[in-house]
Amino acid sequence: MFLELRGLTKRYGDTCAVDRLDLDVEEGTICCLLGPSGCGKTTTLRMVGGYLEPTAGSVALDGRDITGLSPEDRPVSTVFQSYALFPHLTVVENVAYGLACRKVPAPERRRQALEMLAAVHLEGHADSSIQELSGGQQQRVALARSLVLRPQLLLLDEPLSNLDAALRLQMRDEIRRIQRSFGITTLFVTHDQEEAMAIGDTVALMDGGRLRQHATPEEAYLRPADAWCASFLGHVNELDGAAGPVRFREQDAVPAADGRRSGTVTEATFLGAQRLYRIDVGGQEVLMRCRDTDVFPVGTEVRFNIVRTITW
Amino acid sequence: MRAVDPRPSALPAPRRSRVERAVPAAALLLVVLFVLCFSALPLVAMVAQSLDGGLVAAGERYASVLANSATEIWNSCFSGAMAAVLATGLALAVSLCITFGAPRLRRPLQVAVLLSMASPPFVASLAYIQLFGKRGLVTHGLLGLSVSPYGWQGVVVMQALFFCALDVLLLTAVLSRIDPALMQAARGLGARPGRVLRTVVLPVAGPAILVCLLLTFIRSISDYGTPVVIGGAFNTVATQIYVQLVGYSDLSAVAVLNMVLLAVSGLVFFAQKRLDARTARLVEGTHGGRADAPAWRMAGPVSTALHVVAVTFGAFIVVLYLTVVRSAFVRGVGAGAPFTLENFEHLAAYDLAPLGRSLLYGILAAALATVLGAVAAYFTARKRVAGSRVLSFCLSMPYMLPGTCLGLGFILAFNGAWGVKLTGGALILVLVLATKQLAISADAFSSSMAQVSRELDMAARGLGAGEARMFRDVIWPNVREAAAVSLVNGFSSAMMSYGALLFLVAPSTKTAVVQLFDALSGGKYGNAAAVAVVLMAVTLVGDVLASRISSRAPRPGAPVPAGTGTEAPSADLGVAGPTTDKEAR
Repeated sequence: MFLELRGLTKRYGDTCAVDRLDLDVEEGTICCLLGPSGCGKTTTLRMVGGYLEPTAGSVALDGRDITGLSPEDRPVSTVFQSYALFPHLTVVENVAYGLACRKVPAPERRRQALEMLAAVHLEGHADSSIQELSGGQQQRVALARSLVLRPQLLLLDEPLSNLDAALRLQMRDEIRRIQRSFGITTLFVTHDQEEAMAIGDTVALMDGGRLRQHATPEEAYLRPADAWCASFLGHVNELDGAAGPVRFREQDAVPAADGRRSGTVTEATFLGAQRLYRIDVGGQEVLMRCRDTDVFPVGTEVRFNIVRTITW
Repeated sequence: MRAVDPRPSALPAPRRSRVERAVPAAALLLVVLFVLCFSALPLVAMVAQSLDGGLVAAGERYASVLANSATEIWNSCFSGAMAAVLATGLALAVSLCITFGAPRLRRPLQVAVLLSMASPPFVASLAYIQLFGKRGLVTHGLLGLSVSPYGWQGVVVMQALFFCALDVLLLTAVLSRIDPALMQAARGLGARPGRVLRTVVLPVAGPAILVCLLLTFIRSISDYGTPVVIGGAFNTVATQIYVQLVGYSDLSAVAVLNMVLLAVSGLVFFAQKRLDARTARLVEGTHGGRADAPAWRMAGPVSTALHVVAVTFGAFIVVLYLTVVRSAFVRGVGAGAPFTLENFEHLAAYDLAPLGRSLLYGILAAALATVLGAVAAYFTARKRVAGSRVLSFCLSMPYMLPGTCLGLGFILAFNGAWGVKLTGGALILVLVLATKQLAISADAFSSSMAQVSRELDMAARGLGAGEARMFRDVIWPNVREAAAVSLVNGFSSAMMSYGALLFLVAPSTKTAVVQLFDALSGGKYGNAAAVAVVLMAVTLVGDVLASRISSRAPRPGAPVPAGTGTEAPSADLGVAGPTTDKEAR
């Protein structure tokens, strides 16, 4: 595997922020580290980036152990949540910074930097100051600055959390497009499960410093490793069945006139493209998500079928 | 459970008495009058004096004074520039070490900086003579030399050592606000520690460094204490002013010289505003999102060199102060000087009254400045009434004026020529101290009030509180700490103050610092040291108190700023920036 984390551990006194993490990431893919606050995903990122020394364990990239290397020497590039663009330099000077560290002569630096800016559609802003750019543009500059050095691994620390909903979607596609066109292996930290599933080729669910599941988004969603993983990626309905509990997602309860299950609607919410219902099925609560055209007033009885279950 | 009656109850409308309504306007009026009388008027009086006799006579006077003072002007510029470069260089090393250096050195360096501010600048001159004079501990005792210590070299070095501390405060405040993510990103892009320092840290701090250079230059050319005590034959504009003011000779010529200082101060003031804005843009513009990038530390040979410089500075300061303390307990100068308590006996006999006066004037001035400062800050920073900028400017002017300008201005304005005679009394001393302190106090309150969400004001008013009540109930409880810090720092500043005071004291109103200065220039080093030790002790107690107060937990009502968590090591330097500028001019 291209990136291999083996037994990666970080302890602070008695607390264990990351506990014996084993993770493999294939070359050219995006792996999303997903989990609630405090689960250790950022700590893991910092260790892979070289900013934090692991208490135990190792990080190997393309067969080479980089655990002891400082950030300056690792072929790894981190984009911080605040982008950390240098305020006293112009856009192109920012992008060329890493090249200057490698003693690339000035004309060549500028050429490569401009080339990278063109790849992220910012060539017109080359000589602007970074304060003149919007949030989305700043992020692209931050990405360009890292990518111009052709690192072997790119680390993104919750890059979309600061942005508003519309911009977030736009930048999500932008990041994926850039990543694909450069084919660069990427670790992407986020706490938003929809984002992780949309962007990631694989999703690594973390909780309490431990890796709970590492799989493709579909795998994780439909065949979760355990109850925690299942409910982190979306609501899980549970009803009693003949052979034990039956678990299914909100959208797996499909209303049907001849449905084998039934219950009373206690709450109805209109969400635009969908409707969400709270249904009382013999004392147990079921959330049902259906099309906006399926209207069931509160208090009425609704019949439905469970078309798919999830198990672990 | 009985339901709450949803009908609106018949509560009477909130009422405010006539007196209550009048309070805000009266308070504002008080502040405006104070500023007009004691900030603006003295300056006007001084300018008028320099133009005395009509424009033609004034023109001739300016020409002749400037021509006669060509040497002094050159000396001032020369020593000022050298002191500025030396002080800023030292301050840069120290502040870089405090912010990004070895964690174990942080406290000792902060203490050294605090210590170097705990006395009037010419106390360092006292130590200088003891160490490097004809029978100095170092020059004679260690090296066997017998050299005269007087000259510009001593002035430059001593000024640099003293003003360095103020620059350290400024620079640490700026350096600690730089987002560590910038430096960490630079590392990730391949930059070694030296390059990170050179290409990221220093450029972002660039405008602040420039401010330090300018401010130190101003402080140096305005300082007459150091060159008078150890300058010897080295005359500067400041010493010229001192000699002529003390001799009460040609006040118009003195006014012209002061105008020169004033003009330079004014230029620097405006330059500083622009540079501060640029610093804010550079530093604040780097934040966004979670501010939890790992703290950056310096490393490598450059870092080692900086640490050596910083530690040497710290050690030097400690040696200086130990020398002063030693001087208080020995008779005479030199390594063989015998131990004695006679200096303190002398103090007990002759200097207790001046000390008592220092305490009294200090407390009164601090109290006055605190109250006026709170009101001024409320109207200019929070409410932003019409004319706020003008008021704010007039208010802060005395602070940036050289002490000699303010002193001369007060003499001219209140010696009876304009109707009021306050010179020779104690009131004028309290007033000049308060005027100087007012700028710092208003500044401290402005920052403190800025942390109280404006929505609290609006909520209180919406619930029926009048302005006076709202200030008392909402704003005041949240700025109490700023008030305490302002009181304590105002007091210690006043204790140390000599710049303007020296020219306004009469034999019956002499303060301890003036006593100290007289003793120093008269060669009575033992007495001077004893007074200095007592002054320093009082000031240090005050500074410790201030740091205890200002480092308490956040007050209720202060909004929790989002995304904080950046390490700010200078936050507990003990004394926040502008509130403790020990008077240096």
